[in-house]
Amino acid sequence: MNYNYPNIRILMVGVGGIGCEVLKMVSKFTFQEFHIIDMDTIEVSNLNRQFLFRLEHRGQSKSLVAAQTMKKMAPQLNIIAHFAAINSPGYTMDFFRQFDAVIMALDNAETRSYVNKVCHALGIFIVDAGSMGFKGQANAYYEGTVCYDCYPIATTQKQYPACTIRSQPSNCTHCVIWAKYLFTQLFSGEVGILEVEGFDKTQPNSVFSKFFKGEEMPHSIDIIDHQLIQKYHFSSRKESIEELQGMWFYTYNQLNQLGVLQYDKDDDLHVLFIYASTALRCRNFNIEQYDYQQIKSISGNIIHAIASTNSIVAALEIQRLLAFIQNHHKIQYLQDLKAASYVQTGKKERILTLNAAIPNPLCNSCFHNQIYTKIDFSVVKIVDLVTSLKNHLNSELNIVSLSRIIWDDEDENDNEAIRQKKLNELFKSDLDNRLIIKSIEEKFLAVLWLQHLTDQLQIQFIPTKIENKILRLKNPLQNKKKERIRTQQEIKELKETEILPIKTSDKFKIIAQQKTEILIDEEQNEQTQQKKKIELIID
Amino acid sequence: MSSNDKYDRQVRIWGRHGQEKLQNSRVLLLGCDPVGVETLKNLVLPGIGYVVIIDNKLVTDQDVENNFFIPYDTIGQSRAKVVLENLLEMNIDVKGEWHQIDNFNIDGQQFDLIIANEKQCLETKFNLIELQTYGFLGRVRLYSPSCQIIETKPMNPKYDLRIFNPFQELKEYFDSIEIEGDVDYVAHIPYIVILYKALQKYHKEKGKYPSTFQEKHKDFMQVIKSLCGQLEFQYQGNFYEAIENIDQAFDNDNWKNCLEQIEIEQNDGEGYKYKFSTLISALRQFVLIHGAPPLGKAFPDMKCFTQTYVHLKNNIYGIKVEKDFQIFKDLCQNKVDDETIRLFIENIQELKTINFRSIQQELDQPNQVDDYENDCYIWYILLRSVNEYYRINTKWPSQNQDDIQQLKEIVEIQCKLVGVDNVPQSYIQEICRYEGSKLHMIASVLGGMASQEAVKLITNQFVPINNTLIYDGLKSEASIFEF
Repeated sequence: MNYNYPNIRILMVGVGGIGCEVLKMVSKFTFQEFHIIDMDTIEVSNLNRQFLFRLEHRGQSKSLVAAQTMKKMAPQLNIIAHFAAINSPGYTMDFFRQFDAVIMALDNAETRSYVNKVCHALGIFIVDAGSMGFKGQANAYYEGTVCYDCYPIATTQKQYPACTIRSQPSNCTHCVIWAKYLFTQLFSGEVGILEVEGFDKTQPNSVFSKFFKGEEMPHSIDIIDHQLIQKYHFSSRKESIEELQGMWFYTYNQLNQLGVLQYDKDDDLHVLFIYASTALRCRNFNIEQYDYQQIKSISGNIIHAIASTNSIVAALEIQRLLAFIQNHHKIQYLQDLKAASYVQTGKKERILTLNAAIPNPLCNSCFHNQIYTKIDFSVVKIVDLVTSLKNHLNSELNIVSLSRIIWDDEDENDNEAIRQKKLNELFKSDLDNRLIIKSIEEKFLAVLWLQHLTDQLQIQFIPTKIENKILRLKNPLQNKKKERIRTQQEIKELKETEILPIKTSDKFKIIAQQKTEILIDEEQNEQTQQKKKIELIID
Repeated sequence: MSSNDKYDRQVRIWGRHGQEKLQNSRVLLLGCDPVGVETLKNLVLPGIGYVVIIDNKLVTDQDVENNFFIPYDTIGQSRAKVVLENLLEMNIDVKGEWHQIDNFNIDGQQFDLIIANEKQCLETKFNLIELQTYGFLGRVRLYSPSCQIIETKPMNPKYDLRIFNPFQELKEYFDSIEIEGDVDYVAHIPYIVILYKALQKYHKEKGKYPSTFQEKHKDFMQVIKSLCGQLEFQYQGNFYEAIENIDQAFDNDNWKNCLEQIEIEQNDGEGYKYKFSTLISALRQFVLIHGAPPLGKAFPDMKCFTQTYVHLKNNIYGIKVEKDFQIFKDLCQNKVDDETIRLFIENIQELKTINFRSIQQELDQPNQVDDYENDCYIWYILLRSVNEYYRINTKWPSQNQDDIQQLKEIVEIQCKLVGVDNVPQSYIQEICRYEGSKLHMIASVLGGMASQEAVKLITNQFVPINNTLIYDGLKSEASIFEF
């Protein structure tokens, strides 16, 4: 088997457990470029599955170390590493546009959703995989198939009523959650649901008494003589109250000196504080406490992770990628790409592959009308943008960004206030550049992607996918080369389905020619003519 | 100040004691196919104790092409050596040895697991995983001389709350509560009390306890709802919790089935197997005397006042748990340590033993499978056939007509053996297309699955597959069969 794809450019987001397995799978492949991006650094708890890293790499960038290792092992892969978050400002639509396919090897829903949105806007093929303990799954998303955001997965985290956490805990989990709120309130400066006030943070004794001493609790705890304890070392027995206080006061003083902190499940100091607080709270309410490991696990929402499951889902992911690369001229094939799940049940099927669901028509991530514009954020005013949009879409409208309403045609007061604002006063980061445009009846009209381009004052709306397709096919020869990879069998099949390869590339050539025409149009700013051209290509 | 434990993320799955077993185990790998090496990689990373690799071949171009752990510059070297060195580099805790030999005498050696690929291994003394990849297909076959599992870790663990047959103290507690009075009080009555009261009411009205599905899930539910009386909706939470947990109201006799399935073997000496049979005979005696198994410690969360919960958990159930434990411990006559006894009592509802068919038995006469939903069964027959073809010709069938014809004849014989009429012609052609090729992608999937099963066999946790898994890479599907 020969895996040479000298014209294909791949981006892999995330170089963790699944990422390492993916690199293992592609180590014998050849790509034009294989980009990897990850913002994380290597930690000891990664080493049981992320086999490209060693103990001495601790603290270094995952993507850089992985690239270093892979360059030695597989120079033909042409690996390029980015040590950054994929949603940081440098990684614009133009960055994504250079890729033929994106591999998601991520551990969180938020980034998956972001990558999914960008790739759908640009029409880039995505494969995705995830694992949790013995369970895992792999998926492929592309135009016309269901996308990652179509059917949001219900959060599996249980919600607890605030009063249970605050005053009526009945099990250890409640106490862990309480301890985490305590952590946030004390060290991140956010007032959470605990609603406790009136203590002096510089006086540890006052803080302790406020939270662990009180009439309302079945067992009030007084401060007693204790020795400070810096490390957890009680795996075989329960700690005494003195020891718990020793841990609590040590960690409190340390954390208090460090300033504003986010809870980090891999920082032993943070975990020890949570552990001591939880254990003390359990004593307060006569609740049986869990052991250190369990408390750590609950506090960090830590997902079980092992190499074997990652190995399975990464292979399923790469299988989908290859199916796409080798067959992407066959539309029918793409519709057949299925969503696979690997489920560890007691039943007969271990790997179950289901037919892909129908895309959700109300999903705004894969909504078909996605438009794109580059303008100068420091000059263009909101009112200009809205007017152009109204003309373009021929409708009254609402504009919503990821979290807030930007414009509502029916709300004149608010609009008056922001009419004259410049775009950069509204959009603080590159992340804010995706706007959802709805009619006043709440019907989806378009998704608008904005990018800052200095001195660009003219607002032009370009369908995202069209532009991308043209860019990707800028070299008609590229397609001919790809066809060489096909086997005789495939060509025979192609002929049977009457999509002859030669015909396909002819079509591409025509589109590519039209691309140049559009560019000329743009220069002449003849918007209407340009629009017509674009419609032509859609046909 | 990061966590110093590199095994942190996996210990959450199989526990410290599971990790200990893993770190003290010895694994033998026979042959260095990609699939075997992938499997071993997934055991080296989590920190298996000691590995022995036996392989008589030298590294070839093909190995370099489909095996991540065989680098380009090792062509001509001993494959066993190259693989071992590259695997051990990933985890300094793991030790091992390699032998470039054909036949390895395992007499007098002790292994916790043998992983066989490339060649068949008919060994019956040790846990065994046999692996094969063939084009887009894969096969995992498990064998264990004795497989008895205490920690089956089911996805939805069942609680033993004795609502149907409460012990003395619990019954007294239940009877001391009435569902009436102050709204706040009624709203905080734990759901187990509600279920008990509903059962009593049902029995009073109908003269019997609910037994059919209809009675359990419809009539009985009505009774629970009727207990709410005039309570406003926002106070009915615990009654809904009772309905959610309705199954706990009925006699939980799972342990009876478990006991019936488990045959007692008399074993001398020590070790897991010995402990297991001691515990089972103690359980039989316990049930004979008390009519129910010892009570487990697991007690679910429920909405109620903290004092009520703590009282129920510590004073009512907790004391009974401790009492049962002491009685049970005496029945074990000091042959088993306390920790194992507690673990056993916790898992009484879910105990499991598997009697594996040996590989020789399967070769002679595989079990027939009646219901199969996907192609995996057909692929199994074809894999048997190509193996048989290889045995006769010492080469794999290719796409030329003679090979296909000969394979077809073998397939017919195999079909008769497993009781299937025939397999479609296109499947025979497809498998001839593979001609013994081994794909890295398939090896990765299969290696992942095989190592999951390996961990189960070594740690005696979770229920391993019984006994064959067939992976169909064309459709990304895998099914389990007992052959």
